Amino acid sequence: MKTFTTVLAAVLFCLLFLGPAWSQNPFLTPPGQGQKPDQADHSNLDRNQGEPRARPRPTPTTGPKITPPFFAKIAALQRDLRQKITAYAREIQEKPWGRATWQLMALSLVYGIVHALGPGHGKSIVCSYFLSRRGTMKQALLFGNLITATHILSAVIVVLGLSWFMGRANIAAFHSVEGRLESVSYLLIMLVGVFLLGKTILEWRTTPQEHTEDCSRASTRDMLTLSLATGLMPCPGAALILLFTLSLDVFWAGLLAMVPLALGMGLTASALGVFTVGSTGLALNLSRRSKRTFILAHRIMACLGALVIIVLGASLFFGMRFS
Amino acid sequence: MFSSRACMALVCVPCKIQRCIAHESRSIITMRLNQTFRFISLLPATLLIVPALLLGTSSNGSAHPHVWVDYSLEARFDRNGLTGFQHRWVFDEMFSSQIMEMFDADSDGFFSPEEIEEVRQGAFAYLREHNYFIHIKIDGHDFTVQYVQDFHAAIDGHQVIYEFFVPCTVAAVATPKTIHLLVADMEYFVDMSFLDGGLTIQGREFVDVEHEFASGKAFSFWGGSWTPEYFTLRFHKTS
Repeated sequence: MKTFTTVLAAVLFCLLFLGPAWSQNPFLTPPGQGQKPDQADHSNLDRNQGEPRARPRPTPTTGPKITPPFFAKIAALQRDLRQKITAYAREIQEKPWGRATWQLMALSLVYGIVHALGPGHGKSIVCSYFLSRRGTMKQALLFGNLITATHILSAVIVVLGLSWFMGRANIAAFHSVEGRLESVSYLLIMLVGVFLLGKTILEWRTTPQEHTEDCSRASTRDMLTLSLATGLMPCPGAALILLFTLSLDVFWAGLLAMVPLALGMGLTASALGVFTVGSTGLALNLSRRSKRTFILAHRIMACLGALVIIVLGASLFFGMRFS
Repeated sequence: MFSSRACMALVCVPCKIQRCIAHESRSIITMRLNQTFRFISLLPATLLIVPALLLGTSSNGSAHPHVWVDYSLEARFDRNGLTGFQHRWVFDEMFSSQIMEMFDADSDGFFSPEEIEEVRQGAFAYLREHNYFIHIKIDGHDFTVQYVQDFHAAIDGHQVIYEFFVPCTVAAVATPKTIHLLVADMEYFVDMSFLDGGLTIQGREFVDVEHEFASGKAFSFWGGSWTPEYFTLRFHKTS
């Protein structure tokens, strides 16, 4: 076990330095290897329309990675909220501790709730974990808040670290750190998924049939591990607010705003967690009438939840490498 | 000699067996039905879990907008036909502040020609990978945007503005030509929205042109569940 931990730590450490040092911001992301970025000499291609057509690039046929119109509405709302946040931050710059400070805090809470509704931010991990392990409402609240708190704390640490070492942090530097942490985070998620699946199958095989009245329960240790693994990747939304306030020299206000932001995002994540706990509980209670159905239902859910975590981790990990 | 009871018993033995079998099979059927029912009753609960999972897992880590752009366009024509589109992208203040932070080294609120070149290399040229978020169809055929010209970056108040020209030459003839133009980031890291009244047409004297901004069949994704708004330009040579 000790050797395994050491090897794992070494692999993660290497990944941190060898991993891709970029994130998805298309403005700042260099193209994949073997493809050259736009060069100035392309400008003389304009007389030769045939040239660009000769090597057609894949045109979007699969569609975007979003499921509008729900996400489109969220995006529009976030746009307004972000505009207001920038306005308040400028007001704070003029007059610290005025009304704008409290408005910024209130707005950050709302922004957190809305921002976390978008994809990512560990909601999927919370949901699939509670599918795999039976939890209580209290645990759902704890896990939802824990996972977003680490997500934001990571952003705070990265931005603080960058401004410490570089004098002044910027988004490109943040993305380069984010990209490295991302790959480590995805790998860890995948490993935790494998661990959960392994534990489920082991329990399944070692526990005799008549003792399986109860299904595997959520544990604080699992939740803590998953929160650390998922939250390792810093929240880019939080980082942008931090960097913006940093550029206005009101970094303290940005830092303060992280608290309501984390609470807002935690609210969304834990609400989804509570929802999953409720619906899995309902499913298991309905199946309780027959022992066989109950066992089958909880085993299917336990495996499915763990599998979803593995698939999530793997698709994100390999997706960012080979996409 | 037979008592009526014995007679009844004799008669009824096969009957009993039959009834017994019937009862057995009925109970098996009921059991199976019960099981099926239980599975069916699980369905609503499963239906509750599925959307929760879908909502959570619908997309990858950061595929939601972190950069907002308001764009406007100018379609340019000359005597031969369409020459291309001039784009003007206005960034949200947060991303603008980062661009200024990185590229306005002297913080004078102005991009010098050298700084513009740095912006182009550091925060624009990579968009080629995404065809600059521009998707064009000429009479239904895909036209891939491979390069742009005359890149210019400027600071207007708290916002950064990019301007560039996308060459797309289409000859104007007597029969009308149709161009569809969609500006969108398929990864949805950047939210591109069209500024109201942001389309102008240069060179109206050379062509008869009509345009609209609406969603339709030319760009429709996810089996029609996402139909973004795009431009349709129809033009032919003035007679």
